[in-house]
Amino acid sequence: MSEGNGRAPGGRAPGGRATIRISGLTKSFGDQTVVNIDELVLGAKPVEGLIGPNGAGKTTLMRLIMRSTKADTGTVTLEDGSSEVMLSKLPPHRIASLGVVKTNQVTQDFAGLTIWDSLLLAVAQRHDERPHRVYRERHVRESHGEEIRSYLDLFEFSEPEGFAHSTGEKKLLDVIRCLLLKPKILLLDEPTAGLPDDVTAQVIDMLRAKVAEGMSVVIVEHDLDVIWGFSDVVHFMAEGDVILEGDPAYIRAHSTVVEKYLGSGHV
Amino acid sequence: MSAVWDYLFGSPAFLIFGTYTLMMIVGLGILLHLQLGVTGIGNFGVAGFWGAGLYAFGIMQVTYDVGFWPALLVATAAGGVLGLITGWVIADLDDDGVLAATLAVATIVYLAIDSEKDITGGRVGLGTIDFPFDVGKRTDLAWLAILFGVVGVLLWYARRVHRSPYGRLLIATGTNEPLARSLRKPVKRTKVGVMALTSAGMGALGGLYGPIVHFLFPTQLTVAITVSVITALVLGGQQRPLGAFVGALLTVGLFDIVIKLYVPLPKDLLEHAFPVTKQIIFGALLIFVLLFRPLGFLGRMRRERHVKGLSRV
Amino acid sequence: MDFVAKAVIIGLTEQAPLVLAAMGMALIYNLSKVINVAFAETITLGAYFAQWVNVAFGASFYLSLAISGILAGVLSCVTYLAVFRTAERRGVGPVEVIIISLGLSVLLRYALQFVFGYEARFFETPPPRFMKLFGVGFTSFQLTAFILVVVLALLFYLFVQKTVWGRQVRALASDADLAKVSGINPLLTTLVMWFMAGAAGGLAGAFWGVGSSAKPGLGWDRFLLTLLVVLVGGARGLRGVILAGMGTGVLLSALKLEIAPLRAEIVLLVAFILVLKLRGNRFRELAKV
Repeated sequence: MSEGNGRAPGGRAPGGRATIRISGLTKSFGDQTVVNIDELVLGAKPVEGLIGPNGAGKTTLMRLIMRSTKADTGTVTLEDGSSEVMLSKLPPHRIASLGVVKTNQVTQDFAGLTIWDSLLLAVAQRHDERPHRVYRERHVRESHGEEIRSYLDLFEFSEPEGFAHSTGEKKLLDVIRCLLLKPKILLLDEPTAGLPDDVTAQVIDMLRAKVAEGMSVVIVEHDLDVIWGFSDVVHFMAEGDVILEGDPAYIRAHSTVVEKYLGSGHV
Repeated sequence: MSAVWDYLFGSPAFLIFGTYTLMMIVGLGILLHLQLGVTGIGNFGVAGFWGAGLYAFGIMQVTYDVGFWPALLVATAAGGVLGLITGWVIADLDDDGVLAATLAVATIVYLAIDSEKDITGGRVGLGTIDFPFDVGKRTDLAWLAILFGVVGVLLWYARRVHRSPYGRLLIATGTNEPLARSLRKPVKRTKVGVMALTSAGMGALGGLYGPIVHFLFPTQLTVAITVSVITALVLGGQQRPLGAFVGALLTVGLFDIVIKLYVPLPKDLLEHAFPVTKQIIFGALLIFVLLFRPLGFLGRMRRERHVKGLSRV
Repeated sequence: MDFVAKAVIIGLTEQAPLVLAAMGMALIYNLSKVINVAFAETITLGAYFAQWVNVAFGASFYLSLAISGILAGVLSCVTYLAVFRTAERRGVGPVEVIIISLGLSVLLRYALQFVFGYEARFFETPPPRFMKLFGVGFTSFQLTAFILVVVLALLFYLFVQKTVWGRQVRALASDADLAKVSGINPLLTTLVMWFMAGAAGGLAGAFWGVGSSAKPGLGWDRFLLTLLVVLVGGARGLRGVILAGMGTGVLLSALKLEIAPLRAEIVLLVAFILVLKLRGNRFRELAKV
């Protein structure tokens, strides 16, 4: 399962990918430093894995990028072609509209919204959601219904016209919501945790298809088989910083480092 | 037959006034439904937004001798601006902060009316305010019809909101703010917007109440209004547009119309024990409904019906 | 200097009960994360209990005070067991708990009128002596109230900070599960805390009541200010509440020396709203997403 290395980035020129540049980013909770990264670029390759032991700061790093957690110091910049935007100065919803989107490690859902609601919410544009546009529903459904249905057809929801019931369904919904935003860079925080193997494979296939269309992925995953098979580059994090990066083969070759943190049998 | 007619409509003035009150509570309840039931904003200052409209209307009409329509516009704007400011304050507060801020806004309105006697009349009162038209004996009936119309429009709007992308945005904001934000929804602006819009509606209802009472006193805007509206909405079902209507019928309708008009209570009982008992029952209803049937009489939103009715949007 | 002295003396003597009430409300807020609107009625009933003991049994004001504190504490525990514990167990949401407590507040405020009557009730205490300090007049009641409140606030503070019970309360507030594992009886600790909170509220009500009268709206009229003091000062623990309470009293009296009383209250409320806004959700930084 190490064929992931040479995948072409969907016909785009290698320099055309949006990247996230992280400089001097730190975050502490109490007297414990959770993230301390001097310099890191994410998104240069189509699929980048982020691995490391529990408490290495992977999830916090992703939250810092999305600004759902505020950094103590440092900057996060989105570089897209010639434009540069300082993400660390924007409110979270603006970051998402610039094409940087994240799925959640802890299952998140809107109580009271059905599966369709949740997905229509994701696709609806700001001008569809104005208080006086009370007859806009048909328009939103007609322009995005097909797309939503195509995602729903990929998976078996127990009640596609009702609510998401299981944690697994909510997890899938979280990923689909993010894909509907057509992100440039999708941050995935353990997207397949708790999903059965066949569904995990389906999710990865779906993500591959999106990557082929030009989307970049940064994935945190405990199931290292997913990482080895899917990523072009792997960043190994420990104690708040990236201590090793390279393609999966390179990381696996440094088995002493990896095993020191993750225990034996992972490489 | 005529005996029945006399029994039911023998005191039309009281019946009409009771129905005015009922319509006010229903209208405010529908607006509170959009704030609390849909967007999750616990507004405990309903009386303040409504009162700001009522007094803005009165001041325009009495102190500045302005016509009906401009006065109603000012009343609406007064509620709206107050809602806008309140929305800005509460946009990043949690529920305790929202409670404090909305109560404080209502208290400020009350204190301002009490304090600025030169333009509000203070405790002496402000009046008189008359109906903008006169069709003889039927004037108050006509006003009631207009109120029915206004409440009908509010109900129609609330139902449309549930069937629109806007409503979905409000529900998402109310149930999981961080998640909505991560889906590029501007939740703060959404909250400020919904507060401004619905509070403008409360202000307008306040303005429409002016001609009914003719004379305005600060004591008309006590917390009792807020409690009645919250009780009606919670009892009927805070998540449903019709909740306030059902709840108001069961509370205000029962107490202020049915019992007051049709149950022969001795006068001293009507003066003290009756209103006190009413409040006790309102309080008990709030506790019991929220503990044991939190979504009230009508229950939860039925979003799935809406999804299945794709073709009927 | 004269102005400052006046503002401080008036502020502290007139608003001393506010500090006590806010400490009580803050205890419940910090432990159970509940803003209890019905705390207003704990205050009101404190005044009624004291008045009742004072008049019906001819007890001195100080004895009535002690009994009123105990009764208000018991009442507070009863409301916890009957209402808030049920809400906790049924997983009622935060806004709904506030509305429930509003319902309880309305229920108690009107139910007490059936017990104590609709009219205001007055204490039978010897008329207070009038005193002067730095040219500021106040009554002997206000002075004793102030001294008693200082003593009570100190005792309260020591209770929470230094005693075993206080430690358990704080342990329970910071991590309920851990506290249970380490052998703390959560129900008993919670009840002790609600009792203390109720007693503080009841005493505050008694002080307010003896200065004017016991009436149904007594607690509700002072609820908003108490709540704002708790929200603004509470983040820094009881010390913050004490400081915020005293600061509020002094600020309010300073404003009242300069402008009309009603306008002074408006300015104070606007100031509180701005503080709330500026402080924002600093304490909710750990977002889930």
